[in-house]
Amino acid sequence: MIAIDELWYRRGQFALIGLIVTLVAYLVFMINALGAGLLDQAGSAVKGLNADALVFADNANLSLQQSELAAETVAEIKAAPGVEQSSALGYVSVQPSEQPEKGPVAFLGFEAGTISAPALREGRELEAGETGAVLADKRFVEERGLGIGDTIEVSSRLQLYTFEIVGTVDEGPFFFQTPIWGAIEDFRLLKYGDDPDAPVATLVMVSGAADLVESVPADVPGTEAATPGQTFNSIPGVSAQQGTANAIQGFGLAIGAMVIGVFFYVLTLQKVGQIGVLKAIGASSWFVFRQLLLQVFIISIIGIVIALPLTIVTVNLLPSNVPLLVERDKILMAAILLLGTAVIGVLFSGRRIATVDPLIALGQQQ
Amino acid sequence: MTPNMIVTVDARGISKTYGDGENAVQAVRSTTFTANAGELIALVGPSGSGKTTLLAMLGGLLTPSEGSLTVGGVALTAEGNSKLAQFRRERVGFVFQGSNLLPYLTARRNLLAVAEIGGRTNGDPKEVADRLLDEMGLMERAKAYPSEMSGGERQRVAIARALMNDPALILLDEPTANLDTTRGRQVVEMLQSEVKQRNKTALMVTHDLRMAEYASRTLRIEDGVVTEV
Repeated sequence: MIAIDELWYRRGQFALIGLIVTLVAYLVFMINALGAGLLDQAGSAVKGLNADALVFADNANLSLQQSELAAETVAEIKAAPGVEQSSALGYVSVQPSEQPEKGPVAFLGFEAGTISAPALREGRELEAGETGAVLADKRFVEERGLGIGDTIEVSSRLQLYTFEIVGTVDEGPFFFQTPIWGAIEDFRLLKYGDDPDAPVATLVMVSGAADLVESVPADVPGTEAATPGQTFNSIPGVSAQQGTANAIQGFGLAIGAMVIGVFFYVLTLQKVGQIGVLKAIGASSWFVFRQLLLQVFIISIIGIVIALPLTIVTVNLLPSNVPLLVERDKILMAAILLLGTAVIGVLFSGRRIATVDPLIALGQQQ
Repeated sequence: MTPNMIVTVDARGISKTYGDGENAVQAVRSTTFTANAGELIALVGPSGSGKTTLLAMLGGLLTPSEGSLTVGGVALTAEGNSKLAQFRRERVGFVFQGSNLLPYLTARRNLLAVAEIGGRTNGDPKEVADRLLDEMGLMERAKAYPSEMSGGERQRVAIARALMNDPALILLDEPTANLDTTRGRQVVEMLQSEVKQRNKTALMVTHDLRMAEYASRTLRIEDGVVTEV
């Protein structure tokens, strides 16, 4: 094909633009990974909660920090019409005694054997009512050099509590913190001490009928509900953070489109004479533009294919405190967008090609 | 004209005017002539006489302002751009002044490009390209890029390219302008042989009257008016 022959003949020039496309793609993918990493830090465990709806206290504005549910309210929610499965979940931020510089962690109290139980990765499950034991997130054990059978000491309300790690899970961060999952009874102890009248949960996870988000608050006064996705988006800063990452990625794509567009436009201007010859011997403008599109497509694909492993290697080399996460679907979408913007970038060249008069082939010398 | 002669070009009273009103310039004036299959016609005339305009009209790069023009059975008086492109793909072969081969294609690929853009070849394009290169004595240069070839070789490749789509009319714009006399003669002799052998019509614009000697007849154009020499 003419387009590929030209790519090969001018390989030096095209390698240069290929390098630029690779760098633009690398930049876009890294921003994409940063956006995904920040979102993951915000609380992928929240988004991944296995429930149709999460029921909060109605004065909490879907806040995991503010919501507190009394025992009677939890019982009413669990008994509400349409609820087939339910489980209380408690969240409290605690500070491990060892390596405090790594910051506080989320203690998530769940009911063993219900929909709030995280999927076990290693070790054993918690038994119903088992206290003093936790399932630690894999990041928690990796960052702190811990393993199954080790004990950890955490402080809450100026008191120290000891837990044994009996298993690990991989549900992701919860509210910008690495979680450890324990019994709901331990959550109560950590957050409220021995007060028998204290709230018993942060929220209740419910599954069953399709309209639980609307029906449960209607049936149980003093509650409001949202899907896990809505709850995740209501985490303070998540929308602004994602908007920022998307905007930076958008700028990266726009700059990439302009760089590719300008390069191919200059190349088109240099080739006006050759385009005139092609058109003089019968090539249509569309045929000539197709060659350009094919070249842009090939160069962009090569750039993307090189940038992808480069991104993955970089993400793996950077320390884990840099929030980077390569999500296949998001990276694929960014790659498709990059291809699309590259094609948009050469539309001006298409306009120039259409205006080349084949008459210039007569009298010119190459 | 003998009874079996095939008329390739039938121009009747064609004119070409650029601009309008007081700025109008008539480059070709009321020209009538025919060209038949098997003829190599030389078109001579001073600079600015209208040679290029006439060549462009015959090749479907311009349409006449007045008169009727039929080339290879296609009336070119009022064709649109895409129809003209199709006409050029199917009925015309061009040989430009500086060969104008695509610099990023080898000799063989320059020929195959004609098929790639949609030109119809008389048989498998690769076989046709190889046969033409062989006839032009260029088989050993098939993989050479234009920058690696001599001027004579480039013009022979250009002639082979012009024959790829088996055209009714071959138009040559000063094909020997950049060649020394010996190579110029070789190229025109080759062209003359191809025209006779394939029963094609060729119209060659030239300043060099020595090259015009190879033509079966010569047309002279001056101030846009064509006369038979």
